[in-house]
Amino acid sequence: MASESDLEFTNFSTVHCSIKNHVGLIRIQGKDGSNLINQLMVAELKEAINSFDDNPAVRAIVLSSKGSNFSDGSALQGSCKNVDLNSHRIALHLANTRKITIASLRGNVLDQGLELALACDIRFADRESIFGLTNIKSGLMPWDGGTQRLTRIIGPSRALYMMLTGITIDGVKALEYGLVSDITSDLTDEELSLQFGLIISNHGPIAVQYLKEAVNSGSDLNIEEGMRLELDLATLLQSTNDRAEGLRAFAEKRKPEFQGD
Amino acid sequence: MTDKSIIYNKRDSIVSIKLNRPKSINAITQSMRDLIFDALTAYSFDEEAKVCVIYGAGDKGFCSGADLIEFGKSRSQTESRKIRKQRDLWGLLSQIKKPLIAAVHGYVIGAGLEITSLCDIRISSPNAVFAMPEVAHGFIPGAGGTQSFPRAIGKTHAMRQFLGNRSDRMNAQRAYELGLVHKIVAIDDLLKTAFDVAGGLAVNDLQILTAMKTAAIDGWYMPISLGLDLEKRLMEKVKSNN
Repeated sequence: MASESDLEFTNFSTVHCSIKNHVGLIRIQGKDGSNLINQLMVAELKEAINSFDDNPAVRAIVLSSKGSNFSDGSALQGSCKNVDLNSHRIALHLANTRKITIASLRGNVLDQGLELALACDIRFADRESIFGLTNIKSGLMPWDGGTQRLTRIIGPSRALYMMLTGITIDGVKALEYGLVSDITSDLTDEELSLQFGLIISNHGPIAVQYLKEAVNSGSDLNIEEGMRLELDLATLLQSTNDRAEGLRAFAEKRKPEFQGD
Repeated sequence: MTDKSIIYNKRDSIVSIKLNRPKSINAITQSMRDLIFDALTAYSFDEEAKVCVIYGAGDKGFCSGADLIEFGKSRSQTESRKIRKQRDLWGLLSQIKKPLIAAVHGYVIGAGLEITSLCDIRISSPNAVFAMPEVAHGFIPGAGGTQSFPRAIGKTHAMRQFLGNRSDRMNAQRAYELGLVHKIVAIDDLLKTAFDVAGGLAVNDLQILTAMKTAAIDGWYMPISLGLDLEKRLMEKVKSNN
């Protein structure tokens, strides 16, 4: 089954996929080094994300890029007058995955590139990265979830400041803002991301998915409703074999081996 | 009552809840959970009580989480869900409209960190270690942590804590940087500082403390126009009673 999907992946021209240690790695690779996101990349990314999300051998997904930039943004240039923007969107698709997604960021992380990263659950970045939603400078505004996600992640004051001025910030500032979980020191951003993916892949897959559901669905609820959702998911988890294995391993002081059932 | 796993105390308008199973780093058993529920219910209904300080006994830490030894031993899942809904400690903690102060030290793990996240003011000693290891044990935080923790430190950092391993644990300084902890004080000053802060709050009218917390917490989940209405209503109520 893994070989079949590997075969399929070789047909992608803008997206490269591989699986190692239960961590699925998706690297975007545009024609030049700026990794502009065009419609082909959107279609291929959707396909790649779906196949990893459905593949039980994949327990965490790292979204990275080839080369020294993550992405300069959308390939749509100039006037977007007669363009159906919705067909160029990809962030919601990424945010809706059941599995944990980790963005591995370096170089330029701009406009739709940043919107893609914001749709991931966790972000690691090179400390020299450049982050920004600069659409305002060309008379536009973010259109792939940026106005919603940046605001929720770093708060309205900072988000509005960034989007209104179109300024860019580096990795150090992004860490201070809570835009990324960590920045590089010894390891590269991709090594950091894969290392974290490996940690996740050792956890119980059902617990990880329920956690994501509780956090993401719960953040749009008031706290009482959110806590009811959490209780229901936690109660449901008590009946899984993985939970029994977790308790056994704790009692026997050994590492648990989760099967995902 | 022979169960001394928590100690509820009241002096003037300040109450305190001491988690008191130091040999197990104050791990929370089901009976302890029920006792905390009773204590917090008493706090919320006591009209004299204005502020509550929660802290842990012993040198090792505030609370090492739910007592895993008890897990899976009693009751069916449907039964335990029913009981948790009847005596919903974590729901009660999130709904109390009087200030809650957590004074934490040493291990602040799992449910211990979830209690801390549901408090309004968090004071820590420098030796505190914060972690949410539930997922690594095949589980998710079940004491409100999936809801309260992202709200306290932001989703980006919360997800890392939920999904990471021991190397991702936060020390007191990191928790302070992320806004989880409001103040770090030497361990010998921890309780004194917490009760000083409590005393500072307790000079206020209970009605004002309650109105303040209601506006901030309930308003947070409303569209801004409704939040501003709530603030105005509460303000008018406070004014008319003064």
